Amino acid sequence: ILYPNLNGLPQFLAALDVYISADEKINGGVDWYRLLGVQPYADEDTIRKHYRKLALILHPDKNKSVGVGGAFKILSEAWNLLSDKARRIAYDQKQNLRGSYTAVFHGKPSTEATNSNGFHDFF
Amino acid sequence: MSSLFLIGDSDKKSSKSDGSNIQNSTFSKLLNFAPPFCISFHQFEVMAEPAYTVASDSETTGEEKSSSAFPEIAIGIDIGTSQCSVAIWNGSQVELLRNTRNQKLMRSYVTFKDEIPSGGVSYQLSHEHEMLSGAAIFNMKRLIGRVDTDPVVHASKSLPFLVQTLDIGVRPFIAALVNNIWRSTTPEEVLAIYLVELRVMAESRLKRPIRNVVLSIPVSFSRFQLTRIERACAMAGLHVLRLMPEPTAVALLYAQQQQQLIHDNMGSGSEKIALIFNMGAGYCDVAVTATAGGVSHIKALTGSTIGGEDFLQNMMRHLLPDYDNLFSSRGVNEIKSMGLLRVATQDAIHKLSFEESVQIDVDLGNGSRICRKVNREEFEEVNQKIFEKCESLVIQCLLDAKVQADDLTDVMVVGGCSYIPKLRNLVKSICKRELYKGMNPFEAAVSGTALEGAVASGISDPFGNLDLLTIQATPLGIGIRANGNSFVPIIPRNTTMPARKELVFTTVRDNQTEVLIVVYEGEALKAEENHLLGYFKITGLPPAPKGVPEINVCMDIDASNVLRVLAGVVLPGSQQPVVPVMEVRMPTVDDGHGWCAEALHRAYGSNLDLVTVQKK
Repeated sequence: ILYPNLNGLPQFLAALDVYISADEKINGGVDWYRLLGVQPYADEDTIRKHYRKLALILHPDKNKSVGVGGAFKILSEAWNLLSDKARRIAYDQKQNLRGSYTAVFHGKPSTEATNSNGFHDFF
Repeated sequence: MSSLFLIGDSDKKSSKSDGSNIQNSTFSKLLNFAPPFCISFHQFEVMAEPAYTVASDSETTGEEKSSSAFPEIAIGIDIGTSQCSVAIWNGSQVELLRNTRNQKLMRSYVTFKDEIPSGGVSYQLSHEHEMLSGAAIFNMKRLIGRVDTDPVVHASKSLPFLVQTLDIGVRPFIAALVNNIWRSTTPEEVLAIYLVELRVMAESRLKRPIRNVVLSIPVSFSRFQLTRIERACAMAGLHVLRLMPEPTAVALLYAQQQQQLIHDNMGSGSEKIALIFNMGAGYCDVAVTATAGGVSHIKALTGSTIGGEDFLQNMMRHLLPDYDNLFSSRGVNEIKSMGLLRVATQDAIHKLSFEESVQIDVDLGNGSRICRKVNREEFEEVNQKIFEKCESLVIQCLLDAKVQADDLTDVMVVGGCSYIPKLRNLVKSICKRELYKGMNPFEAAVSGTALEGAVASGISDPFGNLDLLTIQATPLGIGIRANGNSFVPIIPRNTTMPARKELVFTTVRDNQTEVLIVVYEGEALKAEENHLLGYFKITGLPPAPKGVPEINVCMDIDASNVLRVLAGVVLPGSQQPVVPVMEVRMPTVDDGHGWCAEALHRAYGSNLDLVTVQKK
């Protein structure tokens, strides 16, 4: 190994990937499927496998890089939503709805549907 | 609540109807909060270091960084109410460490009869009765972190050493009888003395200093009790790397066994759902876990303070109905009689696991003698309530995990009570399964803590034997007092850890300038029936009609199970907090929980109350 001090790099990049996925919104919502690395029509088993694979990389027991705890919490949110049938259906519908709005308004998402409480930013 | 939609960054889009918008904004917050974008080589060096520290956790950083090039493997300790054991990952497998008497399982007690107190690791009892002379303190795990109004403490008053209660919500007075003097001590002190013995034993076996430990703990322990365990460890010179609910340690061992069986990672996808029932002398815990590819994902946890000690006390009262009266004076002779009865009853209960009936013949030395036959049915009848409670814990855990009995692949019964036929049968019948045979019921929990010790120390195994992970769940809900005297959970029970969740509250009065955040842990609907973790005030709210200020309360649990409560206030039209955000590490309260809550209520009434904001 040329740079032993860079050992943690892949782990760090994995965590960074989650932050980037969570920040890149499609039609104004987080693309949870992309975050887990699955297709929107993926079955439960595929989602579970991808979640587990990411958990092994992103859990603080397995990854000592900075910010990994936050990345794991985001991953948990993704899993909680997509593993719950009712919540997943609601999410899919909303994403589709947003998608069609976006098409109608030439790619500019409506500013009406603002965040209910965007003030979390200050934590 | 229209004000909801006026607040915040209008560039952030999300709809208002379901939970995902919360997460949405949570992310932007996390992005601002998490520091990973400026990284230096120094940080990479930190990464390569073995010791694990949470980036934002200033309280625990610093001294923990190991200077050695090789990571120190944490040992696993199972502190049982009745027996303790220590194990370590020896490079190829889990190994239980033996004391000088070649024991893997050591009795949990400390005797104060000599100048220097000694515990069950090093000390050889001349006879079982010696432990019951009043000079030895045991059942520490039942007493630690409890106040004198707790029914569990009251039940401990019939033990041979002194447990005195004043019933005002302070710590009980505990003392050992030495030369006809009651010498006071505390459960933490007793546990610390015991842990020192365990540490010395492990150090002499492993020929290196031991610092990091993973301990198993009961599911029902409050965070306050966890701080007492950590304090006892610190007194013994040990640093707690992880505290694992007992059945989750067993779940990790199960995950490892399944890995070894399959030799097949990720791809196989055969997820196994297992139920673990763990009952020792002090506690009964249940977990449901989903296991695949070495990952044990805890789905649900339930637990209660019932155990072998309750079986024993019920039987003693059954055999000697006048038990409490006879021993209330607690003279030396009474203590001796009590010990004789205890040993005889314990013996009988053990035998009843393998025999249909047993003959008891014990002379209590005070003119009374118990000579009779006891059969298994009688034992089961006397303890019917305990068995019913066990049943309800199993059923509740399945419900919480959203798992049907038919979904279960394996069912395990472990712990000191695991040979009791009635227990095995009730678990079998609820789960509709024969019991898993692949693990030693007395060594499973400690083996799991040793595996976690290796994993959390960052050890990897060339053969993949440590490609394991436990994804823990919160055993109890955490929330605040709001909507009058209600408990409003913010992180519900069985939430995956690490976790971060938040809820929005608002004021109850016009021009309310202060709010009181009172944090509880538990499941009860009424706030004060839960464990109080701490409280703080947010001051300086600008005058506004009631219901307008948005008070965001966020709770964060990191991988080391450290809880932080954050609270901030914004007004409609602004995106900046009006006062600096409060961040409080919990628990902050010490002994006398009940008092604090009552005093707060007396001082402030409902003046500083909060209500939840209804999401539209």
